[in-house]
Amino acid sequence: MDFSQVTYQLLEGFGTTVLLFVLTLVLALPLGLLVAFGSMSKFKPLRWLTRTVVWIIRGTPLMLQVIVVFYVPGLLFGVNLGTRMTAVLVAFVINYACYFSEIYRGGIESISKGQYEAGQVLGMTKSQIFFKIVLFQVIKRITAPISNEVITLVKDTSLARVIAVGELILASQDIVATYGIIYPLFYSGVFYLLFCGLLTIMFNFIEKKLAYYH
Amino acid sequence: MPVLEVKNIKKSFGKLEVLKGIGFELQKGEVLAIIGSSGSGKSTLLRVLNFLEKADGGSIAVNGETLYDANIINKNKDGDLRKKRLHFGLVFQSFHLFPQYNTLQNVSLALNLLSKEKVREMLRQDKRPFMTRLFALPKTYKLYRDMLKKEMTANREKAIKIIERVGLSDKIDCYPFQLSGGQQQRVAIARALALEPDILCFDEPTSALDPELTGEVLKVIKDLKNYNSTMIVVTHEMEFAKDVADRVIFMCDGKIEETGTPEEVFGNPKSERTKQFITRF
Ligand SMILES: Nc1ncnc2c1ncn2[C@@H]1O[C@H](COP(=O)(O)OP(=O)(O)OP(=O)(O)O)[C@@H](O)[C@H]1O
Ligand SMILES: [Mg+2]
Repeated sequence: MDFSQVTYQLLEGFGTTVLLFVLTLVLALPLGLLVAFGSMSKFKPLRWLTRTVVWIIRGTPLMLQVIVVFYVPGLLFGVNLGTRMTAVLVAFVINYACYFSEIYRGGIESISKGQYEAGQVLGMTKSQIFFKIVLFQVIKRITAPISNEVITLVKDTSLARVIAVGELILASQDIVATYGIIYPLFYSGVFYLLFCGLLTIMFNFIEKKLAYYH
Repeated sequence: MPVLEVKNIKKSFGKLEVLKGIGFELQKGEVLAIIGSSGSGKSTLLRVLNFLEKADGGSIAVNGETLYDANIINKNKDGDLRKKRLHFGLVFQSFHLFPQYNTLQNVSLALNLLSKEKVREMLRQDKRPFMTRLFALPKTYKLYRDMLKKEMTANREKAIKIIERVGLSDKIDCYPFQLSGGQQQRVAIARALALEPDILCFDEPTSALDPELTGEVLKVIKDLKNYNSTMIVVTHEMEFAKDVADRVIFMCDGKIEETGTPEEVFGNPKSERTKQFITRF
């Protein structure tokens, strides 16, 4: 197997990795905000329910959650989640939404009461206060922790391998097992490195843009 | 007719009775200084007037219109409450400027939001048939943009004038973190003035400032008197109260212990507690 074939096979796996990464972010970032509002709700049952779910999800391994989502619906209820990819995606979205929700909550709660009151006294509506005053400050405060999570997600996508979704690691492992060559393992590492590097540059750029005030 | 009529305001936090029936009147252009020891309920009173806290008893009327009456169960909708709040302005002890906006933006934000709503409301008044409105959409959109632009320009000019009044023309593009405490508080005053409240309230506007910075802020407040602004100033600056106030209220334990002209309260206090408080300064 020559280098271009290896590259091609790894790229295929990388495609799945990127797809999982992008879909997880697109779904989990907004869902996380909903979960955050749930965990800050004045309605106690909702608040406790949300916080318990977040506690369970954050307190157990993502790998376990992937396996549970893949096997349990089928074995217990005879429901088929569709493809393996869907199962992984569901587990990832739930998991990351919970992590994001805690970051959002921290960000929102860190805005002082004075900011809200200043807006109220100036006759602003609740939504004006949220969108014109609070949101921007929250975004600035959460960029760093969110970027950490996003970079972790790049590497977490490899957990899809446990239920044999053909992502990058599985692709490289296949080559190693079939052809007895080692370098694809390191080669796949380069893919992750470049991807993370790119994201780091992007987030640094955003942080710089937001750094015009303290 | 007084600008402000406050009657028998009561407020408790749980079992703690913080305001035990506060009442006073303010005439147009009058400056009222409220003094009193820590915990006597001065901030709470200002917060009640600005509808940040809901009074348990009493009533508040501005220009003869009753804004709040505890005896009348008024389900204050968010919108109503906002309109009522606009009668009052509040300058906080610790400024609470919006850090992501510069001086001009801080001062004009609320004005611009109000303009946006006003223009939208005007469009909503359009009662022509749906299809007619649909076809007129591009035209309506242009109208909306033009009106808004005009309003925004007016707001900007107004904000610039007010910023000039507090002496910060050279800091108009600065963000709060680039300003000294005194300058930040002056921006906060400009921000409150922009909405032209009937009554402007100050809660210890100089308490968070280094002593050498209090002067510039007090000067701005004193200057507002020349514009006939009606003001309530909670302060520990006795000299300032003597100098600027038309009337002084000494609060103690959630009640008005003594009230009168500065000469009466400072020069010849009737109450023993007022005497004790004043001699401490
Ligand atoms: N949200 C609240 N919940 C419970 N207690 C409160 C609340 N706000 C104020 N209090 C209490 O009400 C009392 C009066 O507080 P307030 O802030 O009005 O006093 P103050 O006269 O402004 O004092 P200072 O000069 O220290 O600012 C205090 O005992 C305070 O602890
Ligand atoms: Mg106070």
